[in-house]
Amino acid sequence: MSATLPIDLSVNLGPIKLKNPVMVASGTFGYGREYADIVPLECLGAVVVKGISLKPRPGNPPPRLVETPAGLINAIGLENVGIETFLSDKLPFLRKRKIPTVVNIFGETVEEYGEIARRLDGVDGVVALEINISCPNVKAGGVHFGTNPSMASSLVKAVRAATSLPIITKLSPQVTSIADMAKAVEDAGTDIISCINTVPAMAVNIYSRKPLLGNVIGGLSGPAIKPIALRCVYEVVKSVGIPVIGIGGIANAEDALEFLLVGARAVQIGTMNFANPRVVIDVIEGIENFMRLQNISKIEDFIGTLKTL
Amino acid sequence: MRKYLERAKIIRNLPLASSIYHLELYSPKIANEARAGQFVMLRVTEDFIPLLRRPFSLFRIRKEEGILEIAYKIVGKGTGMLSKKPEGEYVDLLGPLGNGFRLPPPGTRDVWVLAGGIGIAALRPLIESIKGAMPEVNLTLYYGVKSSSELFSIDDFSEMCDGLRCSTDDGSFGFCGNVLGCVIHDWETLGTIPSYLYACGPTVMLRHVAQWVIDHSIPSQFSLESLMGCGVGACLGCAVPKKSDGEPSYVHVCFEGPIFSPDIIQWEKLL
Ligand SMILES: Cc1cc2nc3c(=O)[nH]c(=O)nc-3n(C[C@H](O)[C@H](O)[C@H](O)COP(=O)(O)OP(=O)(O)OC[C@H]3O[C@@H](n4cnc5c(N)ncnc54)[C@H](O)[C@@H]3O)c2cc1C
Ligand SMILES: Cc1cc2nc3c(=O)[nH]c(=O)nc-3n(C[C@H](O)[C@H](O)[C@H](O)COP(=O)(O)O)c2cc1C
Ligand code: FES
Repeated sequence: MSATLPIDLSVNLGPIKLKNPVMVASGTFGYGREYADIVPLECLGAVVVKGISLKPRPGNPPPRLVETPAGLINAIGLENVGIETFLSDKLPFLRKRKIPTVVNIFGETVEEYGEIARRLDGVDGVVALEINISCPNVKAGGVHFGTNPSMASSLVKAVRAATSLPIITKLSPQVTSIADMAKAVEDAGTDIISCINTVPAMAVNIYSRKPLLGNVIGGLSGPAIKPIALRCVYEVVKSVGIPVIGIGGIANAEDALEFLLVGARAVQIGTMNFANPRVVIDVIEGIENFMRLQNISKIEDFIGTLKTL
Repeated sequence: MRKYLERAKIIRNLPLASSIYHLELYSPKIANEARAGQFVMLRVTEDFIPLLRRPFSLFRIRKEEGILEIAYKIVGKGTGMLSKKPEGEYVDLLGPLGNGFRLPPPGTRDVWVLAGGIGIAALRPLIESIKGAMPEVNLTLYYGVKSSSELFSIDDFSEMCDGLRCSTDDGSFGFCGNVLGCVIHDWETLGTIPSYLYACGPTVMLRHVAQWVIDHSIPSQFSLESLMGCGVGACLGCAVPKKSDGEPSYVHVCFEGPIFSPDIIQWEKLL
C-alpha cells in the first residue's frame, strides 16, 4: 500500500463525466445555495436540484414530515418555484460557481414534461435532466407514471424528443418488477437510470386517531430504506446496459461503496444531508481512504465487482 | 449572515426547573454571528434514532465568551437523550438559523413580551437587546406556565424587565390562569394597552394571542414552531399556512421565520 497512490474518483455515466461519483439527491439540498456556507459545492460530483414544474406549486398542507426509526416520511407535495423563477433566480448561483447541475423535472401530463424539457434544452450550466416519474398522470386518472412501463416509456420519449441534454430517469421502488420498468425506459431512450425514489408510507397517531401527514400518505427515505434501494439497484444493473445511479439511505462511505459494488456508477445522497450536512464530503473522503487501503487507484475498477457466493 | 457547522463542547447541562434543562455550549463561531430570536439545529446522536436534528432557540448569546445557552424541555426521545449528555462531551450544532426578532420601531413606549412555558427561551435575548438598544422602553414580561415548578430565572427576569407578571394554570404562583388571561385582566383592570408586543409559546396560546392583537391593532412579532427537516430551507418541510385569497399558500418557519407578524398566518389551519 502506498500513501501516494494517485486516486482517480472520476466516473463516466454514458454522456456525462463526473469528477467523483457523489451527488446530492433532489429535494434534499434545495437549489444548492442553502448549504453553500457548510459544503464546498465544487467538491461534489453534481448537484441535483429540487424538482421543477412548469408553474410554481404551493405544496401540501402541513404536517409535511414525520420521523420514523432511521427514516423520514415526507409529503412536501413537490412545492417549487416553477421553471421561470428557477432559471432567473436559482440556477445562476450554481452556474456562476461552475457546479455541474442536474435539473429534476416533473409534470402532470406527458406534454408538461416535454415542455419543461424544451425550456431547459441548451441552458448553460445544466448537465442533465432527471425525470421524476413518481407523479400522478392527471389525464390518466391520477395513476402514477412510474407504476406503468408503457406510461413511463411515453414520458421518456416525449422528453427525448424535446431535448438534446442527457436524460436520467428516476425510478420508484413501488412497482411489480423494477427490472421491467428499467428496460422500458432504456428502450424509450433514457441515457441513465437513477433509483430509488422514496417508498410510499404512512404514520398515524392512536390517541388523536389522525394521520401524521397532511397528505396522509408520503414517501419514506433515509437509512431505513437502504436495503430496499440496494436490491433495486442490483436488479436494474443486471437488466440494462446503461449507467445506473444508486439512491436510498446512504449515510457514509461504506453505504456508497455498497451501491458502487453492486454496479451503480454513481450515488445520490438525500435525507442524511439533514442530519449531517457534510455527509457528501465525508463520503468522498471515505471512498478515497477505502481505495488507498485497498490499493485501488481508479474507482471505475471497483464498480460492479460484486462476486457470487 | 453566515451559517456554521460547529462541534460545541458542553460546559453545563443541568436541570433548571421541572423537566427543563439548561445547556451551556462553547460555540464561538455561531455565538459571534447569532441574534435574538434565531435558533440552532442540534444533532443529538450520530446514530440514526432519532435521525433528524432538533431545533432550539438561543436562550443566551454570550458573544465575548463564545458561549451559547439553551433552555430545553424534555418532551421526547431527542430531548431525553440530550439531558443525559455529560459536561465535556461535544454536540454538533448548525446555526445560527432563521430571521430573528426586529427591535420595535423608534419611539415605542410600552412593550409587552408574552412567554408561554418553554417559549421564554427565545425571548430572553430579545429582552436583553431591547433594553440594551432602547433603555427608554417600558418593558413588561408576561410569563405563564402550568405550575410554579416550571418557572425559572424569575429573579433574572424581574431585574431585566420593568414589570414581571407571572401566571400559572393551577394558581400555584402569580395570576391564576394562562398568559392571555393575565394580559386581558391587566388590560381590563388597568386600562393599559401596549404599543408593541412579542410572543412565543405553544401554538394554541399563539393562536389566541394573535386574535387579541389583531382585534386591538397592536403591532407584534410572534416566534413560531414547526417540525423541521433541515432548518436551512432545503427540504420545505416546515411550511405553515399563510393567509391567502386564492390558492393555498405557505410560509416556511426555518428561513422565512421563525419570527412572523401574526396577521399573515392562517391560524385556524395551524395544528
Ligand atoms: C424554531 C424552534 C425553536 C425551538 N426552541 C426550543 C427551545 O428553546 N427549547 C425547547 O425546549 N424546545 C424548543 N423547540 C421545540 C423542540 O425542538 C422540540 O421540543 C424537540 O424537537 C422535541 O424533540 P424530541 O425528540 O424530544 O421529541 P419527539 O420524540 O420528536 O416528540 C415528542 C413530542 O414533542 C412534540 N414535538 C416534536 N417536535 C416539536 C416541535 N418542533 N415543536 C413542538 N413540539 C414538538 C411531538 O409532537 C411529540 O408530541 C423549538 C422548536 C422550533 C421549531
Ligand atoms: C424532503 C424530500 C423531498 C424530496 N423531493 C424530491 C423531488 O422533488 N424530486 C425527486 O425526484 N425526489 C425527491 N425526493 C427523493 C430523494 O431525491 C431520494 O430519491 C430519496 O429521498 C431517497 O434517498 P435518501 O434515502 O438518501 O433520502 C425527496 C426526498 C425528501 C426526503
Ligand atoms: S426545515 Fe427544511 S425547509 Fe425549513
